[in-house]
This record gives sequence, structure tokens and C-alpha cells, in this order.
Amino acid sequence: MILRFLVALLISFLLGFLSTSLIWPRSHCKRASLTLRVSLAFGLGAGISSCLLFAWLCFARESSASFMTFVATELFILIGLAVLHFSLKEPQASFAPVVVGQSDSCKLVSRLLLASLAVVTLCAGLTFLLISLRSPHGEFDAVSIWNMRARFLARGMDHWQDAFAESPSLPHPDYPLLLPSTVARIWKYMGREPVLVPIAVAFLFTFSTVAVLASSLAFLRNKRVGYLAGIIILSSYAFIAVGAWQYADLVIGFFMLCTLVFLGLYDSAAGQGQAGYLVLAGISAGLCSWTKNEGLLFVLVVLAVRLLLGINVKAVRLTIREASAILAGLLPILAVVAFFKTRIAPGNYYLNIGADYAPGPMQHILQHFLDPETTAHKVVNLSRYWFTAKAMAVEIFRFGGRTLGVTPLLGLYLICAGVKKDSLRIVWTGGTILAAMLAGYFFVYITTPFDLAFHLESSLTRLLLQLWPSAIFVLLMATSSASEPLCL
Amino acid sequence: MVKTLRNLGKQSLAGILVVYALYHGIISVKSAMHEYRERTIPDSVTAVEQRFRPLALQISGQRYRLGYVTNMNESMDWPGEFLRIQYTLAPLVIEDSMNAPVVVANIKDSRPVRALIPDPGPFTVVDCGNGVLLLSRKSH
Repeated sequence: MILRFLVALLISFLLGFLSTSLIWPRSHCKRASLTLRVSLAFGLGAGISSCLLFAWLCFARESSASFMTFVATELFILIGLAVLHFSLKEPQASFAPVVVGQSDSCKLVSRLLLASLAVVTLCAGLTFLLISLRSPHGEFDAVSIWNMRARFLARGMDHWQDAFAESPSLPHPDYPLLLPSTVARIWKYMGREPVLVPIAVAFLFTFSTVAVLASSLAFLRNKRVGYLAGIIILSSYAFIAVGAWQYADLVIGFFMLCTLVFLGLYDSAAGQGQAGYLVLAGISAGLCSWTKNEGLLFVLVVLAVRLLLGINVKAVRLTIREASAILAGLLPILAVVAFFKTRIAPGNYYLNIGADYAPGPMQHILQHFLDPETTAHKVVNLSRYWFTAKAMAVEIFRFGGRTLGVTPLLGLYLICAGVKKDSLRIVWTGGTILAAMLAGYFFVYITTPFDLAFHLESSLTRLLLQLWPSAIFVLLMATSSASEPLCL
Repeated sequence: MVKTLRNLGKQSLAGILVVYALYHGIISVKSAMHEYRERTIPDSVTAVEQRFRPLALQISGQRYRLGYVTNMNESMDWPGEFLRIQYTLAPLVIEDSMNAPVVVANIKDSRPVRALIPDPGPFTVVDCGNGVLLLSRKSH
């Protein structure tokens, strides 16, 4: 059983690693980027595998025996990617991180940071384990949405689509399927449904986020900045807890971070032939929309920001070429999401709730929290703006800490370090994307059909967590410089 | 001078961030350990799975919608229990209704079934134990 579990994980990992390596610009120092590509592999591979499982469920007439056809398809794709990967010769590197001899004090700082990262990682691992042992099936959303769908996909045979029936017992039937199908796929490989699987998937996504954050900054800046990033993100209890609760917010946060990392890699690489990063950014953004509905907003924001900022500083033709590269990665995943939204899932309850409409699947839980005010009234009600802005500001100020959050310290760090000249592009791109996402979430709260205080209380921390890894990436990219590799 | 001061400030803040992270890492473990010690055994989902396992075996392989009835009220976490039962019995879909041909009864009462349902009316009652009953319409 454990062997099948490991095989399922290994196939996902290799799918992610080989496809990332194939699209990765071949002149861009592949050996130096190995740690980063390994960190990306599980998440991207799980995303690809989940799309394959969904396509197989939709187009194959499933029976218990025919799951072998899915396994064969995955192996066929994997072998194809491996053959392609090993047949293409690795060219001489045209770009490599600057390697400068370190002074003794720098070495000491590196060692201290590495030791601190090891201690913080150990604490985070223990915290994750204890929360998982306390709630092995995950918390409320995991049981009622994500793992519930996974059970339907794994057990449902040819009536798996019952998972999207409008019933009080099946909340949010329109939520996308990356997380449920990742869990269901491994269960189907194993032929059993141990709780170890959703726990392991949550663990891998949580710690892959840390690994991608640290290794991307180590690659683009230096190791010390990478270590510091890992330490900062692991200091947040909410980050570990929401991961261990098996919620999808960290999964979407992982893909948002990947998108910004690929855009940062593209912007940092001088010269031609780096379009592979944009294709990978498109795939990551697409996988955001396959994880949660907020991902659709993220896709729109990424495309709009790249177009607007690009047209501002570059020729129109180059901007269109860049947008085409992003779309090349994005469109296949968006096609899967569009098929799911139009052919399988019912409508979103946010869009359906009216004055006399009880929100179907969640009626027993949410009926007490409905706000009867119309959307038009809410939009012109200024007190809602003040209330939401205040709640967001307080949450951001306290974020990650018990009494004092980490954000005031990061703000001071930004003021002391200043924004480096060679970071301006990623600061503009990343900063604008994050600000636009925050603005989007703000307006969702303004027009929410639920009582505003209840909705903020139940979701604001998780929404901010989605943006948290990307915010740390942008901040540390801004305050350090590739041309000054000795600085922290 | 300004650059040196800023650099010093930046490195000091990096040090403070590391100490902050170490402190919060240890506090997080302590807090998680406390919650782990205070946990209920088994957890709420596993408890429902154990209670409903005999019923799940009885209806495995079926694909009709199930009805649901309970004597729990909202103060007893009615909605949470309802979702946990759906999670346990997936891929069957449960409706909060007595109109289905087969109805799951979740009774939090230690009295015997005959005392609870002296007249089952149009239903045949199968007692699965632990307050879990399967009510099938005689016509079904």
C-alpha cells in the first residue's frame, strides 16, 4: 500500500519536474536552478495530474478495472517527457547567479541563518504533525468541501458527478477540483482511502511553498535572502495551521507564488529566449483558477498588469509576444476549468443569492448570516468601506503573530533597506498584482450577500494567507540586489 | 554615513526577524501540543465514521438519494453532524427530508428503538446500533 502511495507521488513529482525542465529556458543555467525546479515539481505535477484525472473521469467510462488506462496514460506521458528531456542537449549556460567569495563574517551569518531555518522548520513540522493528529480528516472546509469531493471522485465510479448535485449536504459545488482530484488520484492508485493521503498532500503543498520561496530567492538573489524568507514564512502559525487543516488556501497561494517567481525570473533574465518562464507563469496562473474561484480573479489581474505595465515601457509587439507566451501556458488549464464550470458544476451561490433565496447547499449554516440589503445599497453604503478597510488593516498589522504581527517589522525592514534599482520591475509587477488582488477581495466583501462581520471573521485571514508567500517574495526581491550578492 | 546606518538597521531588523520567528516557532509547538492534549478521542469525524460504518456497509453499492432525520437541534451542532454523515456516506447524497424511499435516522437517545418509534408507519426499521437507524419505505 505504501509502495503504491509512493509511486503515485513519484509520478506526479516527475511529471512536474520534467515538464518544468523542458519548458525552462535552456540557456538559463539549469544546474544552478535544480533546487528551485525540484521545489516546484510536486505542486506543478499535482496540478497536471489532477487535470488528467478530471479529463479521464469525463471522457472515459469508468469501472474499477479501467483505472489502469489512466495509469497507462500517465506513464506514457511521463516516458514521452523523459525521452524529450534526455534527447535535448543542455547548452552552455549564458546566465548564472553571481558567485563571490565570502568573508568569514558572511559565512557566519549564513550558518546562523541556516541553523535558525532548521530550528524553525523543525518547529513548523512538529506543529503541523500535532494539528494533523488532532484532526486527521482536516477542519470544517476540508471535510465538507475538499475531502468530501475527493471521496466522490474516488468512490463514485460512473456517478462521480453526484458530487456536484445541489443538496444541503454538498456545500460549494462549483469549487474547482485541483485539491480533491489530487487526493482522489492517490487513493485510486492505492485502492484504499487512508487519511494519510490528504495529510501528506497538505504537507507537501505547505512545505513546497516554503521551498519555492527560499530557493527562488537564493537563485535570484543569494542564499541568505532565501534562508531569511523561509524563516519569515514559517514564523506564522496561521500558515502552518491552515496547511494542516487541509484547506485549499495554501495550495492557491503556492501557485500564485510560482506565477510571480516565473515572472521575476523572466524579468531578471536579460536577452532573448526566456519565453519559457512566461509559459510556466501561464500554467501556474491557470492552476490557481483550477484550485479556487479566487484564481479566476488572479488570472485576469496577471494578464491585465502584464499588458498595462508592458505597454507602458515596451514596444506593443513585444508585449503582445509576452502575453501570447503566458496564454500558451494558461489556455489548456483554462479550457479544463471552463469545461468544469459550464458542463459539470452548478452556478456560484454568490451570484444566485437574492432577497428570497436561501443559499441552497449551505442554508442550514448560513441562513442566520444573510444580509437582506441589496447589492446596490451595499455599494453606496460608505460605512461598509470603512468597516472592511479597518478589518483588513488590523488583520494585516497583526498578521503572523500572537500580539505583534510580522508585517510592522517587514515594513521597517523595507524602509531601512529601500528598493534596489534592479528590482523595480518585479516590484511594479508583483506589487501591482498583489494590490489588485487585495482590491478585488475588498470589493467582494463590500458586495457580499452575507453579514459583513461574519464573512470577514470567517475568511479574511485565509484570503491574506493566499497572498502571503508572494508578498514575502516581492518584498525580499525589492530589498536585495543581484548585483550586490553579499548583502542580506 | 546614511548608507551605513541603513545597512546596519537592515541587518539588525533581519536579526530581530530571526529571533521573532524562533520565538513564534516554539510558541506554536507549545500551543499545538496543548490543543493536542485537549483533543477528544476519537475526533468528531472518526466518531461519526465509526457509528455509521454498519449502515454504510448495508447500503454500499446503492445510488439512490437518502433522506435524513434526527432529534438533534442546532445547539448540538446539527449542521456539522449532517455534513460529517454526508462525508461518511459519500458517494450517496443525503437530503434533509423524510420523502426519500430510504431514510437515515440519527438518534441521540439511549432508549431502545421500540420505545423511540412505537409505530414506524410506512417504514421498515433496521437498527444499525449506536442510535443509527435505516428506515426503508415498505413500498421500496
